[in-house]
Amino acid sequence: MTDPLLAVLARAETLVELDLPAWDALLRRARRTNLVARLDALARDAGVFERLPERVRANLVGARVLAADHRRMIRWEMNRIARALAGLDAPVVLLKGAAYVAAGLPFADGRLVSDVDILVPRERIAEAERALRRHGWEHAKLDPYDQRYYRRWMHELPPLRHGERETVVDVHHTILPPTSRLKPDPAALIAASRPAPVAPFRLLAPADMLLHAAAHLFHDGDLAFALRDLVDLDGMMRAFDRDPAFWPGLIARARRLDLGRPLYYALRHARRLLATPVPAAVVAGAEAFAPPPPLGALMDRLIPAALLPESHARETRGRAAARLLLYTRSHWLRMPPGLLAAHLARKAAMRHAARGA
Amino acid sequence: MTDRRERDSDGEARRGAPRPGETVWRRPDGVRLSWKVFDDEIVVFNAFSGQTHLLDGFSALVLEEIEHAPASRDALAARLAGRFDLGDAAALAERLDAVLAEFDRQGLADPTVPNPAAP
Amino acid sequence: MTEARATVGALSRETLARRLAGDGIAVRTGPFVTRLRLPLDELAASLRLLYADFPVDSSGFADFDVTARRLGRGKIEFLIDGERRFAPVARGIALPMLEWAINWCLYTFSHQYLLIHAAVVERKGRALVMTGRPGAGKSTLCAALVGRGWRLFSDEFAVISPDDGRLWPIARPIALKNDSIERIRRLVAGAVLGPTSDDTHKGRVAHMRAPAASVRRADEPARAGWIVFPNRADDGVAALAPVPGGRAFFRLADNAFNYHFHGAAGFEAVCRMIDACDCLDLGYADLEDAVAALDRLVDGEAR
Repeated sequence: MTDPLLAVLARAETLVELDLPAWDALLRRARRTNLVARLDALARDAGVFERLPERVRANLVGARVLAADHRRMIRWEMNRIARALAGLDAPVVLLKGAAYVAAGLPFADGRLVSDVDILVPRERIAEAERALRRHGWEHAKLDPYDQRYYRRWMHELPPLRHGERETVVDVHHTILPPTSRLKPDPAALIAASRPAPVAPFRLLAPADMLLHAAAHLFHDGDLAFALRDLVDLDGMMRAFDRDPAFWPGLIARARRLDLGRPLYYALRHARRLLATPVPAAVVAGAEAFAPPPPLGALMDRLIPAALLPESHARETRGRAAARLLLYTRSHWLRMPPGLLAAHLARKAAMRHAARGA
Repeated sequence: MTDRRERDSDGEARRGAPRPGETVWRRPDGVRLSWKVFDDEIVVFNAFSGQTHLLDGFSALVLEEIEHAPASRDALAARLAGRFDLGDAAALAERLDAVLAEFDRQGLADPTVPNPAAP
Repeated sequence: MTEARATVGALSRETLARRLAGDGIAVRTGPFVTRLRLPLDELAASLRLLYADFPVDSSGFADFDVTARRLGRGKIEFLIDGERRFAPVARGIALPMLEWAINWCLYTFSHQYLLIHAAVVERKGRALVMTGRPGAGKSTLCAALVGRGWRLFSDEFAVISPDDGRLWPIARPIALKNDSIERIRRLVAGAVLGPTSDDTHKGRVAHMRAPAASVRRADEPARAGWIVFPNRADDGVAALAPVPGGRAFFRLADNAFNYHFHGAAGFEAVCRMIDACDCLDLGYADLEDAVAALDRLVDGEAR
């Protein structure tokens, strides 16, 4: 690996080898992709923080303060959500960032989490929504088009924002939109879930957590923090490696949940970019989910290009194009193509209007 | 802690034990409070919610009592009346209700209904 | 502290312009080093004027990285860490926009400090922190006090170490608006002001250069001695009145950029500041009158 940012993400002890100019370049790139707090956590975990230059440490501490408060905020939100949903006699499964925090996963240290995502059985979603609204959450103001988009085509209610705290909870009943080609069964996810250290929530089983994150990065999502998402995937694989049931069941689980393709991309690009250790048997098993060669070759070029922030100056047209292609692909995978064109045209019009004359 | 107040409080708790189904107010799990007293104003910081509150004397007393030991509204009224002269019982109860409702909203106290099987 | 330092003003006009158009110039302002890439002649000239006394940092590491880029049709934009963060603006307001972009970096990336929106000056080893409602004239008061010999820390930020409560100077140019520009020009003999930009969203803006002495001492912190809440009135003699601790606490916290991120440490830090300081309302109508009142305050005379 020649990319300096990827190199330090993979081996944090090499941070002590960086001189001030190298740190400068690294800081610019880490800021662009919200990974400064992650570098801080990695440096501390590797036991090298105290050996870094004082001026570098100051910047890492700055990011640490913010990340620590985000963690506190998420924990408080979980407390408040648990209170609101106390009467709901149904499993409530934490997803994404809040789940990583609740599970105390090592890579959650240094991550900025702003919303709480939860998964509930579809037949209880209206009741959950009512309970949250009784406790002060409100639907964000959306125009009728976006309301319809969320409710009908997406996999979640429009986000609920708390009236006073202005924090957001996203209530899901599936992890991918009903309109998507891939159809992971939410009942299977809930059935395999386990109690979280933060009562009364539940967490996805480790394999499911990984598959969900892979689906989020490689199937939906908007790629603004894609490198961070890949760092999460790497973190999960390293953390769950210790669980003896994790790797052996992963391929079968991906097949069961119809998430083989995202798993393939997750394994492939985490290994290539972050040197994530993956057992050979799993790599071999995932080949069954590989894309046809032309698509695979294209993704092999697009994904690293989109994930890696430029070291400085403006984005080259190449990277911008890669990002746009992937964004279009993500939306295509979510919405039938005719609807996609209309949706993208509308979003472009809104961006134009928002920027003003 | 073995100060007089705690022993008194134990006695009061026994006397003011919550009736079945009665709401007991307690500090929410994980909440840690820092206090700062300025003249007649009290500032309280909740490290869990991240919120800072300005309390008047009465609210501060109520919060301090809950911090000390969970209690029902009536038990709180009894404790406060026993420590200070706070006017007639009905007015006190009403004021307490208002303060407790606010604590509920702000995350300073949680209303709980104890499990009858618990000690 | 007596060795010669390479300063912005010591560079030749050509060298400065060349480096600003190329790899950039890193300027140290108190605890922060900002790399500037400003390939615009007028910005290079303003930098040379307003930042003349500031050291050039050659370590290769900058806390903040600000690049100006020319777009078509008389517009420019500022990139932070090479990334677009703000909408483009007219080239005519490039200087106030640059100052604003550097401020943005400060309150976005410096959470190792407790940051309060305040004007801070120092005399007799103690810092005077002025904060409160916008439009109360903090920047103008700040410039007037600095003109009277107070050391400039900042017209915009109180930069506080949460652990020990020390305030850190920045000494960057003081932003003056509208009528204050003329008022300070008249009041402060020898004031060096940069160009006036019209049409900012706050009206006319010009910047007063910090005295060389303030810039030279920009690595000397101080503890706060007074927290003052200025209030402009139409008339009346300048008067200082004590503010009760609880109220002062909330005013200070309300004016902080990042009080909420610091959790219990932030709470403790603000409590200690309130305890350690005299907290005062300053009602005033006349600028010189207010300056005199603050001089008397620090000299220990009757309020």
